[in-house]
Amino acid sequence: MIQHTFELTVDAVPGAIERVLSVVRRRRLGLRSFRAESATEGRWLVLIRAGAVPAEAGLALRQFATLIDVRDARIRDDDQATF
Amino acid sequence: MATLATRTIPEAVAQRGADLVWAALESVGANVVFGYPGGATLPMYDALPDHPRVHHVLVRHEQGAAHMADGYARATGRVGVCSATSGPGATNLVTGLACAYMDSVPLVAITGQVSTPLMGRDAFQETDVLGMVGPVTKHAFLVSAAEDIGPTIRRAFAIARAGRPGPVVVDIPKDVQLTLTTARTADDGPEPRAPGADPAELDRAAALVNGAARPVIIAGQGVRLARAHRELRALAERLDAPVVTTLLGIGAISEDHPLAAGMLGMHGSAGANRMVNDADVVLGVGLRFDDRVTGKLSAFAPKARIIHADIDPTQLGKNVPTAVGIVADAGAVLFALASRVARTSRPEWRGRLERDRPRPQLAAYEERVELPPRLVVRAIRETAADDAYFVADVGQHQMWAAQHLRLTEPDRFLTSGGLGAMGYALPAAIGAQLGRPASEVWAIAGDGGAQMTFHELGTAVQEGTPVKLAILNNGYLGMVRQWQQLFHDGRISQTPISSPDYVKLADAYGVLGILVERRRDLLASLAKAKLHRGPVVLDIRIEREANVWPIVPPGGANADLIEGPSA
Repeated sequence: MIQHTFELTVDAVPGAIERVLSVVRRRRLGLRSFRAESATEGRWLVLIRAGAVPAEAGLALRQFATLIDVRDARIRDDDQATF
Repeated sequence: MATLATRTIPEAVAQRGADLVWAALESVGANVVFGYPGGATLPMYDALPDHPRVHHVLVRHEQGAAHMADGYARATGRVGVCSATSGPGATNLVTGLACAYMDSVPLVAITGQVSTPLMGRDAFQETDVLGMVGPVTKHAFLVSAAEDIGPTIRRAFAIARAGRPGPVVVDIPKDVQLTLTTARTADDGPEPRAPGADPAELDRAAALVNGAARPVIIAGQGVRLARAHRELRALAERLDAPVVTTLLGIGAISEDHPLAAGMLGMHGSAGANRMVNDADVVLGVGLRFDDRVTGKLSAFAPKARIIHADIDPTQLGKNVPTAVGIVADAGAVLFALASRVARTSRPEWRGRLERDRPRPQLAAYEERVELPPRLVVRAIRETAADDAYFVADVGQHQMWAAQHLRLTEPDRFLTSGGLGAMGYALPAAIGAQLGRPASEVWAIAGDGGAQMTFHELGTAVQEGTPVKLAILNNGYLGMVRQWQQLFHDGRISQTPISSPDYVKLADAYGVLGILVERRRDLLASLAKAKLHRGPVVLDIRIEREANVWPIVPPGGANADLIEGPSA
């Protein structure tokens, strides 16, 4: 289990956060923190700190990236986390 | 939500949001909608008569609407459309949405929602549709302004079709439907193209295949969705490699093709499972490698390196470790690989396929019973037109149909594969029939599933769809009974199920009903059903405690497959 930070740029529309959380739940990411804040116009920046085995983290990243509302998805090791 | 007054917008150009719903559907060529009206969709249905290009099919239950849209989509390759009101209308859609989601069926569901000021007030017939459908849809929209209706519906269609297809919900509050606006649907530009395969990954895959002695291709639903039958056959013939299919991949290759090795997995053929077990390279195209296909994951294809190609990047590496992963449309992958691999002949490997092919003759015990299921399925196949559509429900009959229909035309087998939703067959068959009015459509169901959605026979009557519903009636929820017998020490619990008199019930709907109890009556009864111009219900009293063989025990490896009672 490695700690990761997922950084997502998400359209600020109804249901978008729930869809992101659905991936967190279904991939059984060990959630440590979840933060959504207003970013540019009409977008949220979502920061998720979670633990996962590398394969599941990679799969989670791909699942985040295929969500219609997610404009950008990145992952980084937790030692680079900023919150 | 402010409602625009007619005095500020000339009436000649202002339209209600409700009109924009139908106009948007017309603009994308969606001319069949399966739905059921209600309070929150009253404005939509008030506007419907002004849009005669849309044919609305009044279902008997919203689950039926979703399954009909699903059957329509699978049979035509177009996006299926269904509609329901808020609250119970939307909740009733959920099973059908989940079915379409699991099986990658492009579908757009339009739901009415309570008016915006009432949302969150636990209003009459209010449910949080977006919250409810999230896990079973590709996407869901809540439309908050009338001018957004057209663009949202058009985007929903694009999303439903793009990449891995799936269902999309558009939830429209009643006040938004009533809002007057001058907005018009606009072109949204070209749809996103399917991703092209990475040439480097294709080269790696080709190198693996070229080095293989015992390659097997597994064709899934993705091959059918890509309409890539020719590309699949061309690659298989070039490699001289057997093709096994998933349940939803049936029809990807003609089942009388010499390289067609049958269905893989829990109720797949012994030959197909053995070939995958012994393969040194598996090329899986357009499938999820779900548990019914793989059996015990750690023992799946133990000697093989796996190449997995799928349009959905989230499928790669999800269930099975892959040596090469390719994200692309199945047709593009098959076509590109065919030009990269060497033409090869593998007479020994192909010979094994012939040796392991299931024998067509009935077993001795089957000869002693009046109506063994295998005989019934084959008789249906012989009776139906070569290019007929077959829609199987879920349970034992579904597996018998998958094993014994032996389809030669592409894309003629429709079933709820991933979700396994009993009650699918009749409504999906009605949808398929409306999409393919010139074709024969046969629904094959058990007596359990048939009773779940039998009321849709009323829809078939009202629409004049001449579907043939063959109920393989054994008086049991047969698949569950089989598992109770085989894996729960024979404790039969709540699986014997009574049925109504289907002939009388059919008659009450004004439909021809036929009871079949004897082998000697089977073919004549099926022929009578085929020739009848309207819907038909056949109550076929099959062998009561027949089991589906082969079977991979739950949790077992595909190699542990039990071939039959005498094995």
